[in-house]
Amino acid sequence: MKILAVDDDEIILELLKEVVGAAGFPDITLVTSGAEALHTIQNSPTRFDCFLLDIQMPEMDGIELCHLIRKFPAYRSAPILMITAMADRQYIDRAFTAGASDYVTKPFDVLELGTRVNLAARLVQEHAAAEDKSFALEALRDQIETKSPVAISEEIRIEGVAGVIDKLAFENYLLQLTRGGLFGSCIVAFQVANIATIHQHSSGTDFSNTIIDIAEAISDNLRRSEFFLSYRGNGQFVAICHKVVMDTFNDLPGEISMSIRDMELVYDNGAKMDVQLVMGQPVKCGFFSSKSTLEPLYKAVDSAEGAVQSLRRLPNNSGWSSKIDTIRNRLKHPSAKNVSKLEMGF
Amino acid sequence: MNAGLSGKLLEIRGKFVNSLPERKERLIALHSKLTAGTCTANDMDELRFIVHKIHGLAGTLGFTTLGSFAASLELEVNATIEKGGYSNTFCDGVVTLIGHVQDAIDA
Repeated sequence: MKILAVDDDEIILELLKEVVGAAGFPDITLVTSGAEALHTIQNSPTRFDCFLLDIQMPEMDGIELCHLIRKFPAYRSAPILMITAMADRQYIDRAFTAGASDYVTKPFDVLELGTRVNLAARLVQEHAAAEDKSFALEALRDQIETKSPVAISEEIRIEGVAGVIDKLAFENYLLQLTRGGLFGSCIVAFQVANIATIHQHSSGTDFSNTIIDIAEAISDNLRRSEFFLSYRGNGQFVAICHKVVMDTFNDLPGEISMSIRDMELVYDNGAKMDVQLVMGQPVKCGFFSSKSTLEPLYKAVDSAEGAVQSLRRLPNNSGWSSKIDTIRNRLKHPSAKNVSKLEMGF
Repeated sequence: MNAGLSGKLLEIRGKFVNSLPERKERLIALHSKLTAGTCTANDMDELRFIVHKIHGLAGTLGFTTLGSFAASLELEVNATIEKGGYSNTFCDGVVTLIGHVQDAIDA
């Protein structure tokens, strides 16, 4: 794995070289500024696989550099680890928004840094395998009519939708928050209940675009809070929201469903697409005492899956559209909330 | 941790210690400006930069007390830059950091 490390402190660079080298990655290039990093990237005869960036640097900081690296098509999904003494949530948020994959705070444990670089290496291998598969599928597509070459479990890459980051970055973000003891946030999961049907009747592009549309609908309706959203495959989305009043979640499932409905999604053949999105119960991160756990995330996901099961237990004659209409009516008359509570899996 | 890495880390730790006298001199100069009331915005930025670098390196290289104190002082420097103006307590914090830097040099 070919690594580029950027830090204005040469002692840190030397430290990174030794630690990362001892972890089994001796091919590391060291530079001391953002400008030098960009120059090195542009003039490198071979592609870098992974980046280690400091944040606090004169002139161009590491977050701006991360953003610029992501603009290179070759580096849209390369692991970028921020290695920094900046532990405030605002820096963590800015880094992940700019496209960081992971965030390591100084002072760091040398063995832990080795582990994190190893995880990045695994990601590089997975991307390489996915690219190979993609090339193979492209070649096959000319010969065979495939209905849906995108697997239902695939973590479709979503770009250009506010607050959306990839699954690994989301988990790293959550771990970073819990490491810093930055509680007071909550996680909520969404599940497309009829994802199998949508997948079955969609082409690959159609399916990917539908997922992106749903992400956009969720993102639009979460904008009242600070949030990150991630797609986990199998029609499942998770969001972490900061500074929210829990009651504001009550109306969210109905509002998102209405946004999706307003998009008037259709299949390739022009048939109307019905998207049945349910939301699990929001889980407060502060309820968990362990400092390095994804437990709130799993609990939120379980809750969304439970909401899907609740939905399936409803009588068959209560179609999804009528449920949305009922929610719409309930939102107009907020005194009765039975249905929206059901959609939330309470 | 393997012996090779341990040896390298000791070497890097030595380099860090060797860099401390210069950082200490800069801290003393900046403290003089703070107490004389002649500290400019650029001086505060330099103070933040030095404290930030010590924060990042010291803890990783085993100087826990120095690293922890630098971390808390960095927060104070950031708050001071944001609100403008500083107190005697803040100046005392810089003196304490200089003391911890000296301890690391002597260690």
